[in-house]
Amino acid sequence: MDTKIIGLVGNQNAGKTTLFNALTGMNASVGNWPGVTIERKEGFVKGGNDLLLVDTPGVYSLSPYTDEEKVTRKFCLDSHPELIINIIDATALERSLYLTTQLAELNTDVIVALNMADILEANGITIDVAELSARLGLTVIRISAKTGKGINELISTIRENKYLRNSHLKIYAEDVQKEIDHIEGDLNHELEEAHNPKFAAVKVFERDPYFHALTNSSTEDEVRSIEANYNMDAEQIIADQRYDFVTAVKGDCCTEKEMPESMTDKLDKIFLNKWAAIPLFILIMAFVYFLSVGVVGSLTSDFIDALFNGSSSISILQWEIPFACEGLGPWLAEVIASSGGSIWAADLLQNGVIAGFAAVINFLPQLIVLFYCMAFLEASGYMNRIAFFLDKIFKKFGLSGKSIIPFIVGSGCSVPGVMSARTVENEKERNLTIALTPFIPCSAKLPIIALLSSVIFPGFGWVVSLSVYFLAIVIILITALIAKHLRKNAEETSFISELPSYKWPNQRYAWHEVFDKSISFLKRAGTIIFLCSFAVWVLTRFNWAWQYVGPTVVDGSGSDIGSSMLAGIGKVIAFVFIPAWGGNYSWGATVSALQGLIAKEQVVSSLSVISGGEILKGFPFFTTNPLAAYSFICFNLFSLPCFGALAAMKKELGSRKAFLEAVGVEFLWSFTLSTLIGLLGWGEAGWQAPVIEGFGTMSGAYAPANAIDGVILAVVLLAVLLVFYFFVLRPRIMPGKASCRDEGGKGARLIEEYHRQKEKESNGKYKK
Amino acid sequence: MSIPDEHPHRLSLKPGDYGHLSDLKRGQRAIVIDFHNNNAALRRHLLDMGITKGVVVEVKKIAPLGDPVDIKLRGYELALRRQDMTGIDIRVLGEKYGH
Repeated sequence: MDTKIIGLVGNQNAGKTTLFNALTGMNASVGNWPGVTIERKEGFVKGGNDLLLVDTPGVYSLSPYTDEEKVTRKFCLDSHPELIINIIDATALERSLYLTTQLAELNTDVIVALNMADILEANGITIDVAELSARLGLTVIRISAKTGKGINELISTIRENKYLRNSHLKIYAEDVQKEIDHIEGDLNHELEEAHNPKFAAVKVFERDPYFHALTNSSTEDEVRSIEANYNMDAEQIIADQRYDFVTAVKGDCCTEKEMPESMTDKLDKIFLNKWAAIPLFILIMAFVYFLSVGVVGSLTSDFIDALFNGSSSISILQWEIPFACEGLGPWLAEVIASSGGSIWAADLLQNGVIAGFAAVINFLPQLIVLFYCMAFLEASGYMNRIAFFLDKIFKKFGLSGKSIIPFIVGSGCSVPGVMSARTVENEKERNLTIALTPFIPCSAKLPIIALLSSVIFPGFGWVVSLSVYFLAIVIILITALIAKHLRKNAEETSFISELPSYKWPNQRYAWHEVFDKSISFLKRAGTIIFLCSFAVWVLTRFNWAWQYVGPTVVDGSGSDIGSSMLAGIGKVIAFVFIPAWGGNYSWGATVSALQGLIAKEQVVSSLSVISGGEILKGFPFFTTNPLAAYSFICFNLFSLPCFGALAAMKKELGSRKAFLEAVGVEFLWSFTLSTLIGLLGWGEAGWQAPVIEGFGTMSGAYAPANAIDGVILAVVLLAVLLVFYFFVLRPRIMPGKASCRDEGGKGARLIEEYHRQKEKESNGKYKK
Repeated sequence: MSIPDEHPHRLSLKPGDYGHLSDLKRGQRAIVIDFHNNNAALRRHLLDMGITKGVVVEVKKIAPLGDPVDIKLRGYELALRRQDMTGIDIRVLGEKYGH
């Protein structure tokens, strides 16, 4: 059976993603649109693999303003989908149908999915679906993406081919329609049906630059005379007449009752209140971080740490609770040692593998809470309000209110954060937003903050965490201000945003998003972190003569890590950081901070591996000199983001110069700030002459090995190789795959397979 | 220093008066009568969002800091900066459904 491609097109906030999930049963595969890093979601419609549904970025019109909107236009015009499902928000019928009038000009069949049917009554609206369908000449199906009503009818209509063919509405006034028909007649000589001549004719009339090549001087003269008649330009005439048609259709099929003040208006009286709005915003964000880092974080992280690394008691908030647990790592080490394995093999498993994982999994519970809160704020409509009331402030700093969305998304991960900057229309504002997004502490930086904040201000770690977020905001604003003053001839920018009604988010989809994000976080923890942990273990356990310098007793004592290879490397660069860490000479902290370039999650797990699982004991200066700890947080927060985020920035900024500028600014900030805070620490804790040691003395011994050690080493090495091949090498040698951290895997393979199959079919070689 | 989009001397418009969309107060309704905006992309965008001649708009909400402004038109709500609203000419309408 042939696979049909179906496009899902609609306004932003029309419920596109919800409908997509409802139609595909959430088995979407995620990839990229060709040439851009914009996410492309595809999935087979439930009940077979004959219908491939492609989700497109939300648009209000087929005249694009942003790269995302260009993607939708290109898809509609050039990808020749078999059918377009145009999802429209029944509560904003006119604005939604405006897009429908444009889709109806394409040479593609269109089904209108009238969404939000479930809340129409509450809004006092009744819609005559049969009449609407008759007026549009398109099949209209009433659905509720949220409750699933009408979804089966929509699917069976498509599958059984029971929808109306596109009859190409004629919606313009007589003189305009005549001219457009005339242009279309001309175009028919040059364009095939597949090139959408009807749509092109309207665009030529409007003088759309994309279609400029198709116009000629006689057309231009005729358009001019029509413009003179209407006393409007062509663009305005078309928009006017589209809306005239839509208003007439709405008047005939839709009745609206006068409703008492809506819930949205009541809520906005509070959330957009002149005095309460900003304090409420701060309270809401503080609550989000208090809940995730403060409550959930402190309740779970010690407990998980005990499970992996063992402990005798755990501390929850400021209480110490007895909790005897040997822990997976020490238990495994014990087993290996007692069954005849060497200490180094036990050490490899305990500290090279398990300690690294534990350091990351520790933070999963609080991340889940954070991801959920963000998904909730986004889906409820509050995120749009934040952009709305912060716009005036952001505008002063050369940013748009919409910049807040990349910043907030960036608190989960900088990569999708940087990518969501696309909704900022102005290029200068967008580039600045992209450069500043990595300053927002992402979830991978959260472990660093969470680990050290409780040391800086015991019992009130969440206050420190919050202060770090506000510091990030201050730095973003200062940088933006400097950038604004350096920028000459600032052009005028605008802010155009829909303010959607408040909605109670669909919990299933919110949790689905949380699940996706958590899996992608764990995938990283399980791959890059695993590789780095292994590398760090090797570098800390051996000296330059490849002699083992690690612990000589199972309980982890007796090691001479100070003479290891990593110590040697660290000592060379650690001088630079003497002021920053407050006079505390620490090669371990330096090396860990540098590893943050690979992935910020790696910082804490490296600290953990170097210190043998006891970070606070291994790095005493964190506890004795709180400002040095703060300085360490700042360096890691504001220095270059991880490689993934750097790649995303480079792609989105589009120019090498802009990229280098952004990177330079970030590096400068991290260095200045951490040094300044470190110097404050000097004043506080008094000058400490740094202890500078020589390179390793090569005092270790060559490690003995037996069969058990060999098996353990072989297993770990095999795992390292497999992970390296599947997650690092393979995505890189296969072009067009997995360029960002939320992609790849099953999804990308599905798409690839689909295209391969398509190719085979067209070659006539495809056999079932 | 004068900030052009702040409108320190914002007019107080009564029903029947002509003015700019940016001059409206919260709760006021008006009909759009013309457009004069030099920024082509902004113009196009506003047209696409339904701000065409003859459309009725109502100022619903104003951001806590006075800008942007949320207007209701065609059954939905749209947030715009005052600066972008200065190019839209309007005639003020009376309370609900009066002309």
